[in-house]
Amino acid sequence: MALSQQRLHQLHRLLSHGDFHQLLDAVTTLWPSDRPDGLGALADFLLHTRTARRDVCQDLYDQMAPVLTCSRHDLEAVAQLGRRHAAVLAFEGRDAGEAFLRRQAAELPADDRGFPLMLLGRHLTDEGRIDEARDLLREAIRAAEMSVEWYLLSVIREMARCQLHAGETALSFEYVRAYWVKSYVRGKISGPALKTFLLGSAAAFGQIDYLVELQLNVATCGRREELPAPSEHADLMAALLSELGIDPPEVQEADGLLEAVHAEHFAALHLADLGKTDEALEAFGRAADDATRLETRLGAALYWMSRLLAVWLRPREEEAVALLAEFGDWSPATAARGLLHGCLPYAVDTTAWRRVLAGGPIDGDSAAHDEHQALVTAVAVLGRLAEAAGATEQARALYQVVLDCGSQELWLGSLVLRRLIALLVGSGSDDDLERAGAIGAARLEKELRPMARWHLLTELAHGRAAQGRPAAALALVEQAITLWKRVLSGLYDPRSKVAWLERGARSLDLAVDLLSVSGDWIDESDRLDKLLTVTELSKARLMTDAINRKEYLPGPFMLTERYGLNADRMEQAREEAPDWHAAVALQSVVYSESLVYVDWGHDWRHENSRPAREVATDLGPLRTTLRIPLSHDRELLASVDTVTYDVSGLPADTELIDLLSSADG
Amino acid sequence: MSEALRPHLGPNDVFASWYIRQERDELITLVGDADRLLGSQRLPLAPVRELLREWELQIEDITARRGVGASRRPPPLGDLPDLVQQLGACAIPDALRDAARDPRYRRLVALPDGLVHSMPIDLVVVRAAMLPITRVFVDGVVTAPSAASFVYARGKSRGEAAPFAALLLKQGDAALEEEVETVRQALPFPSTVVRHRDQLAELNERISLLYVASHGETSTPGRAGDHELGFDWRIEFDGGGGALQADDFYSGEIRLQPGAVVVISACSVGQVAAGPMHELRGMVNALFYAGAANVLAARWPLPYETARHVFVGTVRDHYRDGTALASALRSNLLSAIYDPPIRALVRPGQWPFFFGPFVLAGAG
Repeated sequence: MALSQQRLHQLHRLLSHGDFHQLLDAVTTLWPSDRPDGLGALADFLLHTRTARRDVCQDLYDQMAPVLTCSRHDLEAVAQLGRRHAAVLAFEGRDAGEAFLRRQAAELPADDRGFPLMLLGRHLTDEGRIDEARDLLREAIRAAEMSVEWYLLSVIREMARCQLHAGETALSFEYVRAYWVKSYVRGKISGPALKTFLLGSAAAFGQIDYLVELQLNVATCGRREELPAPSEHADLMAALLSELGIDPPEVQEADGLLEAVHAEHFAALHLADLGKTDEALEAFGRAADDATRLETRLGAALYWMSRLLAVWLRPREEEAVALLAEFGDWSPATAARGLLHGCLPYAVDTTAWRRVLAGGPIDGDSAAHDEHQALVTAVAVLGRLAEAAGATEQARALYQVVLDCGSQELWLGSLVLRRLIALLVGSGSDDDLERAGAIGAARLEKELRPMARWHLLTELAHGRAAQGRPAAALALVEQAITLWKRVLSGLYDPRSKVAWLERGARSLDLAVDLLSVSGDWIDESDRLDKLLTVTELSKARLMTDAINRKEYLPGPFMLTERYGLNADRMEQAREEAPDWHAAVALQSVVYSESLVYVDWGHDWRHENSRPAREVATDLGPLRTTLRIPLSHDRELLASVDTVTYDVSGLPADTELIDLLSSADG
Repeated sequence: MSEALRPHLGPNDVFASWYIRQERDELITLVGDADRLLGSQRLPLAPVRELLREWELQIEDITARRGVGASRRPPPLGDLPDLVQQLGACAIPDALRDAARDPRYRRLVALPDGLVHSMPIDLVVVRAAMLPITRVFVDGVVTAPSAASFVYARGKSRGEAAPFAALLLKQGDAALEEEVETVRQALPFPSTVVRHRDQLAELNERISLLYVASHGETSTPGRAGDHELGFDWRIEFDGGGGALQADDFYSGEIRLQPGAVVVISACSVGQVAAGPMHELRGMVNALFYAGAANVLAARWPLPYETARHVFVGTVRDHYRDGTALASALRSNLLSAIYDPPIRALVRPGQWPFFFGPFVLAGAG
């Protein structure tokens, strides 16, 4: 029921000036016990009285509680259960709130029961009763699918949150993915928005294999002739760049090939962060090839950037010298050419480089922006070569030039900063360690990508340990391990797992170092608890590594099918991992040839609704490896999902929980 | 989802975990019980590695010449009993030694790492405690590759489906056929003899006891990643019956009843664990993966007489009397030690070879 302005005004006046009986009369007139429509509005009003009239609010609530909590089976009343529950919670507390939802769920017909079950699941998740919440949400999803699905998206979102609280990061992401796919299928979000949300969610959840696959899909589609409309291109580019934290440049002549270059480029950077250097180099190679085909100034800049970053990944001086010699044909490098002439690439005058780069892009277009970035990247590569040759002082100076001049490019800045911190930590001097801590901490505040955060936290932890500050080092390395596990849980390519498992040794070894000796900085029982956790995790890391190196073993980590659903596998998943099965089934539409949906133009519940149009969408770009991982108990044997002594010895992934909560808001 | 070890420990259990740090050349040990963690200790890895290398050499010497004569190679670090003594001093942390002397603790849950799997922990811990074997961990020793696999096995061991046994038999070996027949007679539930890999697949999820009396072998293990660990083991069926390998279990082609017991018996099958003996770990993990909650096996090839006595006796006591597997293994091991015909086989300085190979991995 929508309250009229006049009635609202009347209620407001009574709330401000009237006595309790006048107020009660007005409220009971509006919401009579025999015909209580608009129960959501009643709940809102009662909640409002808590701030407006604390003296009468409880009495008013007590009078109206039977009306507010009555059982009504019509869709409107059911849909307002969330607001009614909020009022019950506020006035009667959590137990009464739970009892209210349980009663509603018991009295509603099966089709509508899912909604109160979903609210109950949310209520129990908030209370930390995760197993109970999960059972209810499972039931709610089944009910939502059987009915007209009007609350399905809400249930999916709650399940994602619940699984995250349960520590099931990868599974939680599957529900997040299902949420976006279902939103797209229902026409609630556009195609470019879907890609933005999928890439952003994957980045936050550390689902790197998925992120790379999606970007490579985009690249493949971009290379084909079937190009999307230019406007969609611009949106997609913006999505990709904003996912990386980069201000998107103005793209004047965007086309599929350009899209492919960027997608390959960013896939390569993800692969490099993961430790899959060979695959990253291949992706940079493809990006460079595509960039050449662009035959534009922007293409040239992107070509150089891809080639240079490949040298960054594998710093070989002869390749770098050959590459930098080619710079002579590239007009923006003319000013820099002299600096390279006649000396080793890294033995250059950083002041001169600083002068060349200080000016920034000559003009404001995308090509100029990327040309400047390519020059900044060239300086970073010089630093990398210097480091590889053992000239650490020169490397540090060149890295500093990059950070001072090119920090707007977040990814390159992150790569360079990591190396600089590693050099400072490696030097071991007090000043350098202090400086590493300061610049690392400042960077951490801005850095959201889990892999980059893991790198930073691990190096900072080593720095703190070298400073003789074990408590600070342990706090940092525990955060790093949590992130490392988050990323690992999302990997499904065995080669990715092997690469990332190898990286994990640096943080796990430090944790074992810190915890293997007693000290007055940590309570002894706490130390033993954490030591058992990290040693068992280290053993599990090695076991997982050994299993994943045997790629001929198809089952130990998950069942994967590319670009299709396999009925047998799905049936097995239904039995062994019902929550995974549900999440995958909810996304099954992306394995169709195409999606034709009916756009109703407005609220379908309106009795005069008529379809406005039919929309056909190509779903190819969304197809990625389908994941149906192991049951939990098998995860204990084949993954780093290990055990602790008692309660968790590692901090929960509260960072991600907070992130999802803020996204909810 | 994180699980805890503590709820899976009984009031009379103590656990010990070993973690190898190659790069630091140290062993980190942790000991605890169901109430608390009792302590951690860093032990030098080098002497343990040296002793276990010598241990393996002597086991290989004995295996190669069993029945022919005593070992020709003079043992540089002492004979097998000496090695047990020395390992007790350098691989057993103080807290575990103290726990072994404490009668409150009746069972040891051992969580070794890498090469420590090849150490006969039950014998070594008795030597460290300097007490008679009858007074140390009287409910036995259970091993698991990790705390996670122990918790996994405990979760699986609650299965209550109808028991059924499959006995894998290498054809044409009279001694093995006799052993299999003895086991079948001892079992109070139905069983079948399997002579072909495909027969086993047809029994998926029905088998609660898999008793292997066949040949096995392992490849020469190398390094997998940054850890020395091999998985390439196989159990042979003769006469074109095929072979069982790790991926049969990992792929789900061979599935056991959840909570199943696997016994890998017969001297020749001990070859599964030969070479670097911690190969056993790869096999155990694969069998756990297939649903097993307990794997009873030998770390190295051993004489028929001992194998039959211990394995068949353990299976009989477990299924007929309901004795816990760890306890049944221990009592049958003790009775083998005091069995005159078996004692007659034991040459001077070789008793650990006969009584040290048995390992029960899993829930116990």
